[in-house]
Amino acid sequence: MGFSTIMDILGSMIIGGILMMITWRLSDAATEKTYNNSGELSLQQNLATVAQILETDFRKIGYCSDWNNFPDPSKAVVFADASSIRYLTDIDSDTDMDSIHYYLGPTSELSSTPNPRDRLLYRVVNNEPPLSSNMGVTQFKLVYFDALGDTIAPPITTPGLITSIEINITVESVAAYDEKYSSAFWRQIRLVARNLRNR
Amino acid sequence: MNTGQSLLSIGALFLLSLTVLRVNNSILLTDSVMQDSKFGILATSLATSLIEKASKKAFDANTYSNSVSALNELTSAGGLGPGSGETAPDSCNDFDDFNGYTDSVTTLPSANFYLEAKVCYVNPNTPDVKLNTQSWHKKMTVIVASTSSQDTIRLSTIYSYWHFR
Repeated sequence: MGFSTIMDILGSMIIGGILMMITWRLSDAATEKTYNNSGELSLQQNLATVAQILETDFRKIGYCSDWNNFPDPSKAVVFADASSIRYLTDIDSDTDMDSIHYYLGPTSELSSTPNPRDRLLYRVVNNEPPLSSNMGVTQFKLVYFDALGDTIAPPITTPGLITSIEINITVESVAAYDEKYSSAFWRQIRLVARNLRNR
Repeated sequence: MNTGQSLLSIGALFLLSLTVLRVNNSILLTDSVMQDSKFGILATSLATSLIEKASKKAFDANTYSNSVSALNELTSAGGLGPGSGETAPDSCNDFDDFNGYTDSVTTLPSANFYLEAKVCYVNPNTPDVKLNTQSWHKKMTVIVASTSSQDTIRLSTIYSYWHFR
């Protein structure tokens, strides 16, 4: 075996190694992207679902199908702070006022998921058991405004001053490749008691 | 290594390069679509927020403190927009003050967004046609764009006048 043959073997081994590295990196990147893109799709669907549910429920703050049962919608918000709210509405349009309570659970409840920040967003209707599902919510922040558009800082002692609410939601994927969690954000202003104003 | 082997090696490397480029292109395209979709969700929330803010206002400057019963008592179609000293969204008092409103949102964690709103009178039977005369219905169109996104979000709402007697 001559010198040139040895050089050929060494050269081919080096080039083959580089090719294997490229292929391995490519495979790794493809796996990561496939995993994370699936998570991204799920989290965007989750965010849209959470926003849709909140949109539907918050739109009804102070609503009653028989206005005589609740003539003053300014009393609709019973309790409000930065990450929870309890308000009155006729959620099932049966003319009886219902209470809806939204609040965020602790991170320890979802310690079984890889994401250390996800929490359960609970919805409680009247005295029924709290309902929730893991949508990957990591932030549920409420900011309250009075009729002049000024922010009302918590703790809110007079919920009747609230005329609009800014809803901030962040949803992250509950699991991610290499702990590279994706997130999506929603910020919306929602009016309280739309029927309150006489236009 | 003879010439044939060299050519085969070069061909193999060329094929591998093409494969890598294709995969990278595919990954970047998917990322771009995902980002566009994410920005679309956020832009929709900004547009609905602006619609909510406008819906809180009176139907017209002339209905802010009094009721009106004739169309000619409303602001003329050419006069839709903020009055003197009014600036949307906070210091204005009626829905059409948002006509010509522009804003940029730079405080969000992902991208910068640019908002524009237009208000016009419409007939409920032909809501896509702008009226040049007064009617009991005003249509607000909100456009949200971002340099980070290929898509522009356009949402519309119709606000009608009603009054408890």
